[in-house]
Amino acid sequence: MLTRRVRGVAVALAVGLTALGCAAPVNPRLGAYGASGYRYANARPAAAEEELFVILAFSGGGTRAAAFSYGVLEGLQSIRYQPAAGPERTMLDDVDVISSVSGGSFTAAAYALFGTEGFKDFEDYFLYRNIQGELVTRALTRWPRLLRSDVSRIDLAADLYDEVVFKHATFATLLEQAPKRRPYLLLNATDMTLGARFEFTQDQFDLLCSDLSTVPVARAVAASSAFPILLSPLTLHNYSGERPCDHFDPPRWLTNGLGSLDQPRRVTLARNLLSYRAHATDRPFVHLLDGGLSDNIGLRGPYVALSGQDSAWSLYTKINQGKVRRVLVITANARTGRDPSWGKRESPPGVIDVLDLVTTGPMGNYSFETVQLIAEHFARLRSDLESFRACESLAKDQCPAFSMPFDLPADVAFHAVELAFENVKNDAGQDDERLKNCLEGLATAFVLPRAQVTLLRQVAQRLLMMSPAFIEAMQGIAPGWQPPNVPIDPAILAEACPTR
Amino acid sequence: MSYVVVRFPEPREVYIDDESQGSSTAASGKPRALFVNAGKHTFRLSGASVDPPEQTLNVPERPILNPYPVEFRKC
Repeated sequence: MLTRRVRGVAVALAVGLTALGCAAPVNPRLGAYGASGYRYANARPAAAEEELFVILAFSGGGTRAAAFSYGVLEGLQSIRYQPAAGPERTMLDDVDVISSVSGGSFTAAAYALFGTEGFKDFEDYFLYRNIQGELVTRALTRWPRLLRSDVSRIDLAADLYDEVVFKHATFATLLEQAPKRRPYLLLNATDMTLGARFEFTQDQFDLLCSDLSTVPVARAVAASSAFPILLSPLTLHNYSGERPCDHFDPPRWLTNGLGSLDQPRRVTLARNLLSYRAHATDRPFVHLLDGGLSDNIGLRGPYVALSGQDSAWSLYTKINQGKVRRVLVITANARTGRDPSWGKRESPPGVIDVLDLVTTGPMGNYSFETVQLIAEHFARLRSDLESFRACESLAKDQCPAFSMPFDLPADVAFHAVELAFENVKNDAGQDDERLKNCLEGLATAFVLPRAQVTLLRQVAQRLLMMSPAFIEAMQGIAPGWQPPNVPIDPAILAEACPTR
Repeated sequence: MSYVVVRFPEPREVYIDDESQGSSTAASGKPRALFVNAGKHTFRLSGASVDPPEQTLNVPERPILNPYPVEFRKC
């Protein structure tokens, strides 16, 4: 397959250039601690919060993931409904947070920056473009730059993304879009030292005593998609412990999390975050790689916000405040299956296949666990609320004067929607094996044939409209809503997935 | 995950780890169960005459039908 060969060339090129260059920090020191900067509270002012809270999570997977998540945005944009108050809107207008890794980060950042007005540009400048080829060309034509000690392969990639996709936008630019109801963007990378998720928000940068506002969005996307070996890590400077950051009051949830000794997840999260300050002197640099290494589905950040107070945008807090009455989480998971032909051949898979497996296999397994974690958490919350109502109803049947000694914080509905290739169905509702096999065989690369990109967009919309969990959510949001039929264009299917 | 009920003789705004969680009391006049993750949290109420002014507790896992009580007195 051509794309596999392209990937092989790129891997070889990257390996060849591995010895060249080392990245320079791109993040400036913070002038003083404050409440400004790219934080949830500033990006989504309280007035913009409504009863429906929508989170999108975009997985990794190169252009495959970018096109698939773009199809989800298109699908949401196509749904118009009349809310109880205010003018007609689309479901895309309701998106509060997009959390993304790797390939999905391109779509997430482009939408957060340019809105639907930027859709056409994104198609031209990224989805249907041979970004991978341009990366290779840049590496070949600008290799002398890589001899400089302050330039690395990730810098060439970030410069390309900055020029052609993100138009030199910074996190300050992102914040300027807040009045336009743009979602809060969580671009996730992986801290190599901790092996943990690192998000590009001012809350995280406070721990480094660094100002995120002047950092180009392209840098964050490059870090989020810095696939191991192919691209070098992105390096940030950790200024904590130096003036003016020698005194820092961490949020109370962070110090309390550290002291929650019988809650290992809380302790680990807090310990990792506080380690930037605790070990500032022996760790003045933070090296970031592909977000998929710690969470290839983009759901870990949302899970923390959905399951407690340990987040700058805790959903528990919003529910307790009575602001949020319905939570919808849509995961665009562009994972692919293993090559089924491996087991049919006596000769073992080649080096590229092995490299692919060891770098993406663990990511896929961990993603499955995270999706399950969210689904099980929502099931538990739903069960709790039902238990409360059932118990009250049963007691009242026996004793009409009975009253529960306390009330629920709010009656909240929870919906978890996972869109994945393995769930594609035909019009009869049966598994569409041909389409599924085709999608699961698509390469992880920053170039795909045009028909495959179009197919991925159509598949995402079809999966969304056929998802029972999404239909249930929509019928609660807009009673009477019926999903449209989203067909797959047979000509596109034939071109994207030629029959062998 | 867990649930808490914060008790005080009159409605007050509840803060968990310095973030407002809304009123301690529902519109019905009954205390409100609040969603909280298990572990250490600092509880505080708005206004004066609250004893203690704040308390940091290790909230255990509790089902919704048996929320963990957090008691404040008026002083």
